[in-house]
Amino acid sequence: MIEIDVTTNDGYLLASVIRGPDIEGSNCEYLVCADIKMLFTARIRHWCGVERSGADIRKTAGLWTTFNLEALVEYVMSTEYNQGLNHYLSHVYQALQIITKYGEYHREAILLLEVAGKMYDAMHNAYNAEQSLRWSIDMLVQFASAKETTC
Amino acid sequence: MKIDLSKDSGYLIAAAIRGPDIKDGAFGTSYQAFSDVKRVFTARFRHICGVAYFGAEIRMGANPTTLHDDESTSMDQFCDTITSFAKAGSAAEKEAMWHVLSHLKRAFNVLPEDERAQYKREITALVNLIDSVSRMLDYFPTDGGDAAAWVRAAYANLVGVIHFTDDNES
Repeated sequence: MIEIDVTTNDGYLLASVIRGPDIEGSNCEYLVCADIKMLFTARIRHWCGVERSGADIRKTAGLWTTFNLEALVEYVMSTEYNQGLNHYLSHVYQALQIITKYGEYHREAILLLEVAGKMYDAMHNAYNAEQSLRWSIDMLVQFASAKETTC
Repeated sequence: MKIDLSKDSGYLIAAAIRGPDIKDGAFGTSYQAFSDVKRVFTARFRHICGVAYFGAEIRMGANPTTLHDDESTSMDQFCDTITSFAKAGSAAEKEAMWHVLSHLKRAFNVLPEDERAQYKREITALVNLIDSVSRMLDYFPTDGGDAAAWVRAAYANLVGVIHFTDDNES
């Protein structure tokens, strides 16, 4: 159970990321956006104790078998300026910064923070953004593998 | 206000706190529609929940009109914007709007009794307006005229409730 107070800054910022992105469409972007939701929102929901039936919740650090890295990279790199994704990522970034300060998930939260940052860089055409994004996701995968081995 | 995210009500309230993601095409139809939804619903919901975060758009007064508009102008603008969005918005934009509205509706309906009691009439009017906008998106253009009339009636009802609330508060 986690109780948050939305009148505080941290509480508001955590609550702000509990809803998935509004960027899901009925076209080919749908699957990529569903992956983005599973990557960030579903994991943060688990950390925050969300149990609601029907809500996408990711209970392990590992990425799921259908996660499509190439589609994600292509989507992010090809999006000239996606304000919807930008808005969503900015909230994810702020929420993860809070989570990194507390508790058992802070290491994984730092890695997810890195992924969110690299996605933001890729959307803004930063230098070497695609490679950096791939590296950051690779770090996340390695972290999940190591965690499973040590458990 | 404190919320427990392991409970359905806490999850639903949190899920409505963030404003809409999509506001593409600054000053276009889509931008205006999402901005209006944020101003009329999200900003007010945040105030009811006690959000005080600096930088978050929060509407503290019940009246959704802006400083520059009278009520009639504001209602016309809102209804015209929603109608234009229903006509011209893309499928993905409408899906996003539906996503935001459905979360807002559920969140208004699960607010704790303490918060509900103070804003009961206004919450009912806001939910009614959400229903009317959703209907507009679902049925346009086959039932466009009817849907537009319902949005207008729901907005007028909200304004009426606000006067009632303001009269009682003053």
